Amino acid sequence: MQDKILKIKDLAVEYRNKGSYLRVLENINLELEKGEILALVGESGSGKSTLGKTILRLLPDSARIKSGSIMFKGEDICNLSEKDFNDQIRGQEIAMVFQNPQNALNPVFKVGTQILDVLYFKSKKQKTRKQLKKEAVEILKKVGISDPEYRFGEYPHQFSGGMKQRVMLAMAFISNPSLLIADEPTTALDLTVEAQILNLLSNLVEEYKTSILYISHDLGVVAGLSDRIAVMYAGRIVEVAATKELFADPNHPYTEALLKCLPDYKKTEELQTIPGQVPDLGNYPKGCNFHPRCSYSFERCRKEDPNLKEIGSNHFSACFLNDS
Amino acid sequence: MFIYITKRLLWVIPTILTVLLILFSLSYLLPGDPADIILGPRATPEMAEDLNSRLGLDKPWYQSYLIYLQNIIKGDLGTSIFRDRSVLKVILEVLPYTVILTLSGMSFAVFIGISIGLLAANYNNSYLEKFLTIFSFITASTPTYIAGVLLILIFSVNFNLLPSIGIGEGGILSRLHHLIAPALALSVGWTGYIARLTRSSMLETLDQEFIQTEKSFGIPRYYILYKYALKKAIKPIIAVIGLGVGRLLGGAVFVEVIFNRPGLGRLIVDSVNERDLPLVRGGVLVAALLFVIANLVADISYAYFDPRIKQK
Amino acid sequence: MFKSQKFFRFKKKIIRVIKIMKKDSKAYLGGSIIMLILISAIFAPVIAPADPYKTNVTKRLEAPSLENFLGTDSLGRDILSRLIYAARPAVLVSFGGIIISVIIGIILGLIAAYVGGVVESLILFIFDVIRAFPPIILILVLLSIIGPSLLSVIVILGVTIMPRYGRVVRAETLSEKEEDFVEAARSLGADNSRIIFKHILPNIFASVLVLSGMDMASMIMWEAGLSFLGLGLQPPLSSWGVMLQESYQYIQTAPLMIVWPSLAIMLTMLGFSTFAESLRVALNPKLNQEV
Repeated sequence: MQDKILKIKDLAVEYRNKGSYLRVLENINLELEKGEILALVGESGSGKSTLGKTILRLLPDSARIKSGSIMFKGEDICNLSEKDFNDQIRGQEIAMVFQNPQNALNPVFKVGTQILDVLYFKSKKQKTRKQLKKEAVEILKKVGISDPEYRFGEYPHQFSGGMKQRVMLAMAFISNPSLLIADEPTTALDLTVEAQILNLLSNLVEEYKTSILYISHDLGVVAGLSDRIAVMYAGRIVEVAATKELFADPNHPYTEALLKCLPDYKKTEELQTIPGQVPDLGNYPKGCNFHPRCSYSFERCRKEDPNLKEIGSNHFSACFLNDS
Repeated sequence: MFIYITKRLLWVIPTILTVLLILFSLSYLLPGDPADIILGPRATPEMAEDLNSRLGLDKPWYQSYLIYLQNIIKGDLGTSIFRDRSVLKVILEVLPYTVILTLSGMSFAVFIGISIGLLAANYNNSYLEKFLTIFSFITASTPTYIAGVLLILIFSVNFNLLPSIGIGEGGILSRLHHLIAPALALSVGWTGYIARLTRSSMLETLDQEFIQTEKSFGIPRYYILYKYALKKAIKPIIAVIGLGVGRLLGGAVFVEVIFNRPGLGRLIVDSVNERDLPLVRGGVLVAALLFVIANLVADISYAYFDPRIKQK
Repeated sequence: MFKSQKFFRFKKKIIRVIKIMKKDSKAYLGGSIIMLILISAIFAPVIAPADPYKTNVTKRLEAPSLENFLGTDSLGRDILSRLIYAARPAVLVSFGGIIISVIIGIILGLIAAYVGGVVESLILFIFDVIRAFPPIILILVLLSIIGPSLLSVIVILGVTIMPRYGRVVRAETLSEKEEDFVEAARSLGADNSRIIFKHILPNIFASVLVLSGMDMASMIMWEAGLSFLGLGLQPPLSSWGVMLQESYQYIQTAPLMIVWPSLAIMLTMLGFSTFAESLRVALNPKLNQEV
């Protein structure tokens, strides 16, 4: 049994909204093995980004962890003080790349300055910026930025989207993190660029042996990338399985529907859709969150919330259909 | 951008001319006979005649107005009736004090205001922030003269820490000492405004995505605040400084009177009381000029920082 | 049809604004202070414990006591009563001044926007000339010409502030003029005055309201400041500014005396500005943060 690098148990996250609290994430149980690529898949509004940000405490002040624990390398990082968390975890052990590279970098500072700042704090202010410059240029070269010395002194708006994302990856891998959280890193990029970035990502992962939590809404992308997939819907995890098994033998009705929605150029029928709409963040229906749109729902689904249960070898699903 | 500046400058000229016209017509607008009012009952006919010719009342108004304008262009603002000296000289003597006072007041307002605003943004949603917000509101509602009076009350009358009169004799230290209370009083109203502006500008910047990126890479919060957020947030404050100078010029009037300091504001008040017409005209002209220039600079810097115009 | 539609939207807007303000503590704070001032002004004879004009040379400059809550001034008059009565000129100056500014400003602004051309340039020019003077100095000089009295103070303040409203009204009218619903109304035969009153005015109403809150505070501040310098209201007329001036001479011997009118002025300004701030946030739904 490999050691698990990340173990989230019974996590619940709420947002304060004008006096009352909205439950945004509920009953999250997730485990990530060392060296594994776990995809977190769901539609917009499923809470997947929120989950990613919660791990790195990047949520706004109005959000809080109501209950549960996040064990990283055996330690509950929820208990760390903000200072310790920032010094030890952020940008050290766990790093994150974001979806929209356009806004991710500060427009009034040179790219080189921003990289240097990350390096500076990572070295615990020990080295000077001059010393770190060499490292920074090296990293830029590694992620495939041509002419890195020159690029170092340029501003973000002089970089293309793909190049900015490379810079982001560079900044993320600077400190050789054990866990990388990738929040839809290629969604905002063109298809060709997407392929390049994914390639780069695989290479980096191989080199640094990083575990990855890859957040995406695109099942197609993660199919070729991830070892396991966790499916999210309306703030909950509804199914977890090895990639091949998820595609071959989906259990949860939502997963099933998702797979049906994938356009297949071989078929000529109409594109499938799931009737109904994703519920608003925090405004989840009573009982199983998916039941209003589920074609298999029955009495129990309207009343109770199903929990993740192991239904096969390392295959989990949260559906009452499995109980009967 | 250049076009904008030129347009504004051109617009200023007729405005100033009209201001001059208004100032010139003061001698005709004063109720009663100028000689009576200004010189009093002991005026002799010769003095009255002299006064009339000085004020240009002995000629048809358009002639006098032209002479008036010509003189202004030559730099001659007339002669003060009661001080018997060139108006320009009198003004230039006291103007530096007002300038120093205004600049000090502005510096106080900017430093204290930005600090408060930064603190409030950093400790967002805490009791400290609520306290600072209330404090900013209160200072923004404190008129300059009341701030002056209260400062005198607390620091001069009660604690005898700060001098309440004059600009200080002997040495720069004494001058600085005498500058503290007046400059503080002047800055009070503006400090609150800058604090609130800083806070909201910072919060807006902090909201942006790149802040999140920097945070995720482990850059500590204080660094994010002071290096990254501040640089972006400071723009609106610079744009607003020109406006502040204009406002402070008005407040200087009160401060100079209360603290018994020489200055342009005090000069205008005194000359209005004395009915020293040439001095009133000259003083108000200079004040208006300064005010217009300050507003112009404010408008231009506003336009400079407005990305829509800058993009041209 | 358009008339009732626009009016209905207007009414709904008012209701929505009131709802938002109900939840804002600033509105309550500001509103209650304003109410306090108004009540003091209107019901002064009823509320004030003593006659503000009654002098008593034997009781000069007394400290606060049971009989005179805030003490007595240099002529033995009860300070509390004077303070309450002084709310009257404050209210008159602020409301009177604002009404003048707003009315003249709206008229000139509308004319500028509608007539355009030379007239518009002329009106804008007048605004610019007024704005070329630092407000205090302009008020000072005008007062010295006309002579200080309650009426002249109100009128001069009104005229000094008027350009702000004129410009705002002109700008908003210009943009509203081009709106579609105005075109539609016109095609149905509505004449200009109908358009102005039913469509344009309700829209500029919001901006004008917020501005006037802040300006009312400023007017009180200026009147008090001028009276403090001895250039505003003159005794026996008594405003907080006049009280300030009277107390200033005794700042060494009776320091407490100057505190009361100072607090009154600050409180009033605080009330108006917080209320105006709350109005501003409520009227502009996009602004979620406070400034």
